[in-house]
Amino acid sequence: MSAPALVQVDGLKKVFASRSPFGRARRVYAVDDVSFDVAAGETFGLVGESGCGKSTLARCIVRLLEPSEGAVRFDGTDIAHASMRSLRPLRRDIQLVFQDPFASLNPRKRVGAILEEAFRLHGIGADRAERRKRVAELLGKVGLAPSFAERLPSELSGGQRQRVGIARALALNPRLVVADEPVSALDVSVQAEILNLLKDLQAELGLTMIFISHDLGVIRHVSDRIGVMYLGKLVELAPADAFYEMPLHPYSDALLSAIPLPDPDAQRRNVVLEGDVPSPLAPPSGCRFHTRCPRAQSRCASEEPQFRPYGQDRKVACHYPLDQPEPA
Amino acid sequence: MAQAETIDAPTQTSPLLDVRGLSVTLTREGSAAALVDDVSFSLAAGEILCIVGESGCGKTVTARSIIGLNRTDPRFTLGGRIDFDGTDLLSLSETQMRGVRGAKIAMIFQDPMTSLNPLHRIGAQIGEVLRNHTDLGSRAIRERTIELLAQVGIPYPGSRIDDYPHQFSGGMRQRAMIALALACSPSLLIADEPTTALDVTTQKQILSLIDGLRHQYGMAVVLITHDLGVVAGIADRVMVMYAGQCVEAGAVRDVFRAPQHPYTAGLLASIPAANRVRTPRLPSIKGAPPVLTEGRPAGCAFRPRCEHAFGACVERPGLEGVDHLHRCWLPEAARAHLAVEAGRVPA
Repeated sequence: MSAPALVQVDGLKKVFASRSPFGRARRVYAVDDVSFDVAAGETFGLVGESGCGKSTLARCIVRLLEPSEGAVRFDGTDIAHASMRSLRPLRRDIQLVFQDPFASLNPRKRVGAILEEAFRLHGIGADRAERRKRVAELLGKVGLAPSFAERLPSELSGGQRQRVGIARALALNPRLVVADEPVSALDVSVQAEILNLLKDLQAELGLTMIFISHDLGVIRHVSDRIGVMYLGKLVELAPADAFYEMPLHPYSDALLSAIPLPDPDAQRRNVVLEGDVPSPLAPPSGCRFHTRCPRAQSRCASEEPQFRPYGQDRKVACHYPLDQPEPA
Repeated sequence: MAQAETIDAPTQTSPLLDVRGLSVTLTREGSAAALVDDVSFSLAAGEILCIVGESGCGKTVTARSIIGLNRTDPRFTLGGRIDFDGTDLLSLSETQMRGVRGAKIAMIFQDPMTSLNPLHRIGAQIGEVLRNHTDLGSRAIRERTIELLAQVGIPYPGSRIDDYPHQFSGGMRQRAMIALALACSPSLLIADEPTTALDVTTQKQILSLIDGLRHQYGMAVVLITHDLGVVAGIADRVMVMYAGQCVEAGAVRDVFRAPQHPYTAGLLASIPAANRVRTPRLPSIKGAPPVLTEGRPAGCAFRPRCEHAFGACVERPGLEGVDHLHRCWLPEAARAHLAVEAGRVPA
């Protein structure tokens, strides 16, 4: 990595306590000791199944949640425990795009008002007229006509709504955009347009992006580097091309082989994982994946693998990575 | 008369399900919208037909019409024929239909959380189907329920039978829904986006379960999905719907190798597949599908979004072809080129 890291996540943990009126309080490590860097101008793809902690991680990075332990350094400053007041100027630099464009826009406000709010809160634009001009520019940037400012979210299609969601994130010229499943609620034909838009905007504005998805296909088309999460932990980190050529962690391999390919004659490998993801309330001992891993050995149940550097630019948390022969 | 305007099951024997000219009209606040417009297809025992399309294309309405979930709703008007096992389902009374539903035709839904009753135990919900459709006593019902849960791969079925739905994971709930659907050994299963709410590794488990069941019992399956990857993996034949109409249909290999409609080609081209090398841009289809309750585009419904639209497209095209059907005015040479656009053959 030649570019300096814009975001450094270091030993991040987020613990939720579930207080039940019956029995004792239980603790869930939604994110458990996760570390990675994102270089300026890079797109970091974060992938995992539901409940793996990827959204919690995103929310800790943009500080919608306060991490329990560890550091999140943005441009060198640790923001993990910064006060809400001191975060205020940083909010312009870090923005979030949400999954559900239906739930994340206020249904009673017109698109213009939704977008103008950010300018108003941050004192941008001398008067109403100038702010409106900026709104029109912003709409143009995401491929919508200026007349969309007069519409209500209910009058927009899913793709148009997500464009508004992206416009809102871009309003304050952020340096980092965290996109949490931005295309999963959209139809395929619309999905491609939004992915193209995000890539264009990134090239044009030099954005750094953390792109979260459960879809390894979508992730492949936007990411420079990829991180795979399982039960709150990062299990693999790799440059995108190397990852798709040869995943190292058996879980990454299982995820890749489970994706339905749009080709009736595709070579389908049959890595069917048994059972479900274990409860994060009681994660398995040793390697958290050992209960479902086709390569697991006795060592995997007792000894937790370190998330260690592996070859060039890669990291993996596995005792028996896939480039090694299967353990006897 | 040769049935050119349908996709027929390849067998010569009479098909299990034969839908002819199905139309579904929704009347609301005085205006009527054709949600499904002259759709015909048939299905043989043991066959999987996938109906694919984007939201609002009419695929779910088609599925719900087969099993008659919208027949008592006064806002819907159904036309055409749905012959199942020799009987026209549309001519049956609601009471007669209740004997078919659950017993001979079963349906599973996208969201297993909202389709199971959260207040009743899993076993009781499956047992209810058996009680309504069979003469089994309560002990036999319990035994059969445990057998069904085991069959769909629920671990420890003997104890899990007394769990409530919230004690099951998403994948297990969908398995329980399938067990419920299988209770009376139906000959036709209608699965409406059965894996959309599930993670990919669980999706793979559920799809291989459905595929196994049709091989084992010769059950026919109509599977509704928006995911062409799912279609490629499981379907024998596929029907692509757009704006309430079938725009292309045929054997899954034919349709994926040589799409004959620009919409199918566009869909295939736009998928960010995991086995596809990253390119600077993904091909996309401009615009969005029409909302049918706000009126359908005149002529070919895909015309406003189509890169190939020309003069003829102001007229509505009919379905053409014998085994591989398409609804498009483009000449054959232009349609042959669509495979290149879809990235199916190198340019």
